[in-house]
Amino acid sequence: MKRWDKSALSGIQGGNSYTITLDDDPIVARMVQEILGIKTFAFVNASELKANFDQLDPIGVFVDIHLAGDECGLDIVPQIKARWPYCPIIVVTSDYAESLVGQALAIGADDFILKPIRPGELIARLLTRKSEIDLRNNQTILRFGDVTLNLRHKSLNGPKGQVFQSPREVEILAYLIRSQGVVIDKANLKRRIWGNISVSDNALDRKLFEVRKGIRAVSDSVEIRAVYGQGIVLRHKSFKEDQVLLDDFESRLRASPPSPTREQGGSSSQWTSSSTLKL
Amino acid sequence: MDQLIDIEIVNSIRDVGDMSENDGFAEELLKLFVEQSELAVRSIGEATARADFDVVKYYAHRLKGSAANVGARQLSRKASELEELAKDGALDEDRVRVLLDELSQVREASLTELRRLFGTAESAGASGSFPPC
Repeated sequence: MKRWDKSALSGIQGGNSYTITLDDDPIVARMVQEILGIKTFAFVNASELKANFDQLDPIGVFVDIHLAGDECGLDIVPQIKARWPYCPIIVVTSDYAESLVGQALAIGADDFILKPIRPGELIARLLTRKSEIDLRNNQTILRFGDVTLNLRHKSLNGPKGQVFQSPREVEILAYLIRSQGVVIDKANLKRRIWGNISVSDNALDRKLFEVRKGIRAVSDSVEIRAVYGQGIVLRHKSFKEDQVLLDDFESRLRASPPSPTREQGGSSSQWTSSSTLKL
Repeated sequence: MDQLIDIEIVNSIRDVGDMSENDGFAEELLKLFVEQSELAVRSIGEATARADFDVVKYYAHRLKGSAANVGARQLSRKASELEELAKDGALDEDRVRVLLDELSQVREASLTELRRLFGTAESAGASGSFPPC
């Protein structure tokens, strides 16, 4: 009795789909390819993968943490995420070192699996992360902080009001929102928005100026920040917004305390899950 | 003592092979493992001889992962022990050599068992033998 169902992979098989492995052990690439039933391009070091960035557009990337020559696979994760923000990045490791796995997830990895590779787990994690990313990308309403972008109406809403943006400006902002705080280099942004059409840096900067202007018109807490030598990122200006949410939560809690109940046989009262609190 | 082979992993590799269009997947994987584990053990031996424990650590780590992936559980654990030893600041070269000998023996036993389980026709000589370190 097999413990996984390969038919779930039919949605990603066929066509020109392929995955990438960054692992100094060729056994990993061989297993990933056979388990998924789609081509896997195997890279053994980060520089080799980076040199081929422009030619590739994978549906999943599997990255080992420990590579040859003291190279750490985590170092390239942010660049992979910036290059292919719609592609799940799964860290493959034989060490469950919580700090490394946590670090991987914090810098852009979507999930991790431990060696030995188990086919069912590999398939499930790839498909789950992929469907999450696809779902995010198919939404017509995107939110970042207090800003809401409506892709259908090409409108941007925030506490200060509403503005309408051109299709390109909406595409740029949507891409930045979907990149989830990852720094995007301008060349990559141009390729994503304009495809093979050659666009000057000036033209991109003019569009970014309009997008920034739109954001400023509706919100004081979201901004596009340039990261010197790396690109741009959509970010919260400060933690002020989080603080507002926390204050709001606290004030609602104080305004409508849930009914205390006494635990059976216990002596102290405690809040129940049937709280009337609504957020 | 650990089990020599993780039969659950061996079975999952068989299943992958059964579902694959590639009839010889298990055999191909085992061949790759023979090569990779031979490279690792040889490199560890050479690095031990020149007291380069960073290289020992690297190949031990790599062997730990690839052995686990083909179901060679005991070999993976031995490689992990060696990796930990090489990570240790106070290096004990004699201990590394003892572990390396054990590693070679476990590797041979693992390959014999994996060949039997995968039903591969690979000759015993393909595993290679290692010069004394």
